[in-house]
Amino acid sequence: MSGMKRQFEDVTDEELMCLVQKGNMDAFSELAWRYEGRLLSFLHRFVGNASQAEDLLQGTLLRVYGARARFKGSGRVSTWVYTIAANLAKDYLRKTKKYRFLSLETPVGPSSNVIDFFEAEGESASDSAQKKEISRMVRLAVDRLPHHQRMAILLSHYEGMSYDEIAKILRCSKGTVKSRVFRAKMKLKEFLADYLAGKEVAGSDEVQEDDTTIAGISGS
Amino acid sequence: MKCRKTIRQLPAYLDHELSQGEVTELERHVDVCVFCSTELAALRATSRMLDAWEDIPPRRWHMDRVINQIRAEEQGVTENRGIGVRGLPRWSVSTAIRSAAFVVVVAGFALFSDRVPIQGTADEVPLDRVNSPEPAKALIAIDNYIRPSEYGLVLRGEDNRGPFIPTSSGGLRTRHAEDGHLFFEGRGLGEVNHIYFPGEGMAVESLIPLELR
Repeated sequence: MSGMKRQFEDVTDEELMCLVQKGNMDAFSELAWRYEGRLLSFLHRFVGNASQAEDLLQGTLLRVYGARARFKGSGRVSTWVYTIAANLAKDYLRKTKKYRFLSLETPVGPSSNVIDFFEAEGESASDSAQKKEISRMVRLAVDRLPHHQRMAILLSHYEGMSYDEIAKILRCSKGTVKSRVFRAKMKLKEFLADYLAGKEVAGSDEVQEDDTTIAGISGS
Repeated sequence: MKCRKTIRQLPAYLDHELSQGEVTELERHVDVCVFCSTELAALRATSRMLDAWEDIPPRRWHMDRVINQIRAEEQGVTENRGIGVRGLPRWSVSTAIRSAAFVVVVAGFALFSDRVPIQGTADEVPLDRVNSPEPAKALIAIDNYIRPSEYGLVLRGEDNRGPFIPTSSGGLRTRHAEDGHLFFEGRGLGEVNHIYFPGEGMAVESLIPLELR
């Protein structure tokens, strides 16, 4: 059956949502399929824990279906879905006392030299080992951001959303989004410069042995 | 344009969030300002580093869990087990179902690899409504805690997004599980790459990818 065209392949998200509102489970299945990967990555990056991200993903999809009647046709489905996911994720972090879970799969040793990444135009990034190291650095750096800045940078950089969309999702002004993204990027630049200079974030040495460990408290 | 204003606009510039007029003004300044051009290069490098944090691929049963829970709740099979719509507790899965799922995975892979002989007869759970040119047989080992007469199996084909294939759901008899195994056969199994084992109305930790022969 591979290669078969999916039933709703050519249907827009908004049209799908209309069908979902009528109780069409196949349409919901298609909608969930379109969003599950993006949402999981977004949630994982925000809460820092794969298992919790999966739970949040399921919670998001359940809420999307449960609240389908409240979706207004004038808005974009993606904005609405991400609003639900963002609210759930923020609630989760608030309830868990702002602790973040870090999964440290690839410890970076003191001899790590990733300065080339800055100078290369893609070749070094294709090296998987180095890419893993950089990925871990980025994860740690993003973890250090306050929640609202982290959310803004994730939606902007990783989800490719416009500041207008982010403002709707976070229910703030576009100017606020611009400010949060600015502060987040400036901090990330600073944090990653620290890593590149061979520094590690405080406390990371203690958590490298555990796959999933509470590594710090994120302020907001 | 002053450096202070330029610096504040650099992230928005990289995100294509400035107006054409702002872009022109900013680029004009950056062209002649070493400090701001260095800052812009550093931000570009930071963005490249951020790209190294790759997406996390979803596991296939995420959506199926949700859909099965919704279906179960709509049918009144369960009473708000696992994730609730209002709250967000951990997905609750019984040890029995987890262990059963594990056994089913092992048995499923072994079955379709043709390296393990099929045990017993295979005509006890017909799947005659499943349409496929190649008849197949299946053996599923189950946990003693699972009562298949209550849960049934749901098979699904394609990439897990297609419609349900008519199955033995609800048609499995308890006696087939007496020795800890279920048997079924039918056309269409060659296209089936997932088996649900919906415990108490939900497919929890139980979407089983099978290796097809």
